[in-house]
Amino acid sequence: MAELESMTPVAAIVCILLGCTSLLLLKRSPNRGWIDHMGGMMLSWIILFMGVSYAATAVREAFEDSSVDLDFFRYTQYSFGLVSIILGASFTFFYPYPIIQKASRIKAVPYFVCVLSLVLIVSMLLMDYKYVGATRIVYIPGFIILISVYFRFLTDEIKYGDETARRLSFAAGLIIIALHGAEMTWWLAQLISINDEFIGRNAIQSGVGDFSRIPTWIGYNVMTTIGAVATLTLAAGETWRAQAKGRSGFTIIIYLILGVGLISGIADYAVLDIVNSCMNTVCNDFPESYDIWYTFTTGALVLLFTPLISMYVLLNFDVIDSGSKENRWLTRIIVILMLLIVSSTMIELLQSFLPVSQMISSAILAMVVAIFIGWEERIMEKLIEQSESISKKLSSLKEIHEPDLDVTELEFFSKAMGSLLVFTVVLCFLYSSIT
Amino acid sequence: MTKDSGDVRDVLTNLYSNSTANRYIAATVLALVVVFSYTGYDTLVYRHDVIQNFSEDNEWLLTFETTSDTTQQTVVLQDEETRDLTFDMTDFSVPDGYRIGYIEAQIVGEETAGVLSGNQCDSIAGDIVRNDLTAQWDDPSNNLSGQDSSCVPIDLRLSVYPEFDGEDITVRSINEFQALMGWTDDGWGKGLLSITLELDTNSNTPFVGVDDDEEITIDINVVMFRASVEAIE
Repeated sequence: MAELESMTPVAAIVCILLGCTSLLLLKRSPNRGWIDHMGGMMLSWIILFMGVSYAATAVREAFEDSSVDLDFFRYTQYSFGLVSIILGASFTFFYPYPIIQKASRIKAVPYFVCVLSLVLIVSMLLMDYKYVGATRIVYIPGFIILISVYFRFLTDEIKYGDETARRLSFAAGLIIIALHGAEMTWWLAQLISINDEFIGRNAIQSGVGDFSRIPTWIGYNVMTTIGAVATLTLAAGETWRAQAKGRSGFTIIIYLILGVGLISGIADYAVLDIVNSCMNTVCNDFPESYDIWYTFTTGALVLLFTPLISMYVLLNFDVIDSGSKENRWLTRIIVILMLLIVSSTMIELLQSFLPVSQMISSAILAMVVAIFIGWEERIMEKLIEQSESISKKLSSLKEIHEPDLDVTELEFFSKAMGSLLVFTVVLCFLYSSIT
Repeated sequence: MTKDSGDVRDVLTNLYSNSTANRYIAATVLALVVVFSYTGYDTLVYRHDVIQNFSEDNEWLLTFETTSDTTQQTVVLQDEETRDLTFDMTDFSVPDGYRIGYIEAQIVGEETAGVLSGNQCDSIAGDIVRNDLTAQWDDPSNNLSGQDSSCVPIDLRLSVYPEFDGEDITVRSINEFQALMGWTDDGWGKGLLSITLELDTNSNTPFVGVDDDEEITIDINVVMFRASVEAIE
């Protein structure tokens, strides 16, 4: 059986491609509401920063056995990972239900993100990333906002018959999956409290002194707790909705995550002896089937499907003007390209452990290409037809303030993020040269 | 009543305006707190203590319990004769849990052994021959060759287990198993021990007669060890 190849380089390409294209499409969509504009920019930059972080990870993975000095890539990986965490946490204050609506506060966001990012990047750099896990605590308020939006609009839909409310609960649910997808698949392991044993194993494998810092462990526990609670509450909410309104695609996705988490939890429990071998004897390797399971579930969800979910949010909630003639061709290219990259990667991964000849996998890939080309028109039309901005819904509820902001003021956010990107790269380069 | 002033207080009032939804939100927050509490205890208190006990600063004292097995062979060599002797290492009895640490060989001539022959001391040379025996052939503590013509026993030594010298040592590792890991390898000391003897007699002694042979005794002592470990507080 061949060794499973890493998906990180593919994730890097997908994220950088999607991030850049989304920013370009946003630039070409001038008549968007401020929520869509701000939310779109934030989401695009999160994807782009994640892409840069994945690219650095991919370089480290490729050269880990060589004598090449990889410090620059290590700093880049962590620094951009940090920025995307801070942006991800800030994003929930703007989308889908903006908590911050005053012009002065919206204008302050780029400064806030840049300053907080730089403070954290520099301090973590100096502390050699010993406390980097602790930064995940910043997700707590965002999760509470998202789950509040989900339940508020789910209740509006089911109890008060507001059919248009689904868009907001759907958007909130999708963003929860995009931000906490990996941890959502560990829900059972967290509920039966065995994730700490995996944390212990990682601590020993990474060198106990560096890893076993209480703040880092709080950060990891916060994330896994959010993931477990998110899965169960979304599953409860979707069950309620399915009973009242029938099942939807999102209901199926949530049940899929629930099922994956159930199997993963059982698998995690089954390998506890191997997990604890680090403490009792020496760290034994996990069985190959266990690694394959996690590559195709949690790994694929984080590295391949999170960018797809982000793309879906951008298109389905009309964040970018995909309907205009100018944007339509670029949107089509990026949708087909991303779907193809992800499907071909999955086929390649399957081929790496299933006894499928290259001829068969090429034929499957050709079928996928044909399906996407054939359905391209339909996929796009469905996305564009169904797309409706959430700001329209919020405007109809009179829950959105129209701040006195012009496009230039909003686009300052992109300029600030661009500067942050350049500054961070230079900082990482300098620091790696000095140390 | 909804307000679109944009003030955070008004925005939150709008968001939490649905009492049914608020109950679900409160239940979710409560679930967060409950799950975080018990998993937090497991992770931050219990697991942290466990990990600290396994921290890389743990020091362990490795001590070695030794035993040995010996064999003896006596041969008679003629003047200027060279003879190869082999000892199969499987003939030595290694108790369970023990590994071979090193091999000592002592070569003793007839005169050396105190037999009154009246002759001058013969010149005896002995070598441990490098072969496929799994041992530390390049260890600096080895003494693979010896020669004597003054009736003193020749002592040879071959180190078998890497870095074993019988002395207690201090190691750092995260647990007992790993502290002992380097001292439980099987496979050392397998093969044949080959010793070459060479004799050159001194028979120029008046009134005694011609001395043209020598009885040589070879004592092989295989030193075995079993490592045990205890934490240094």
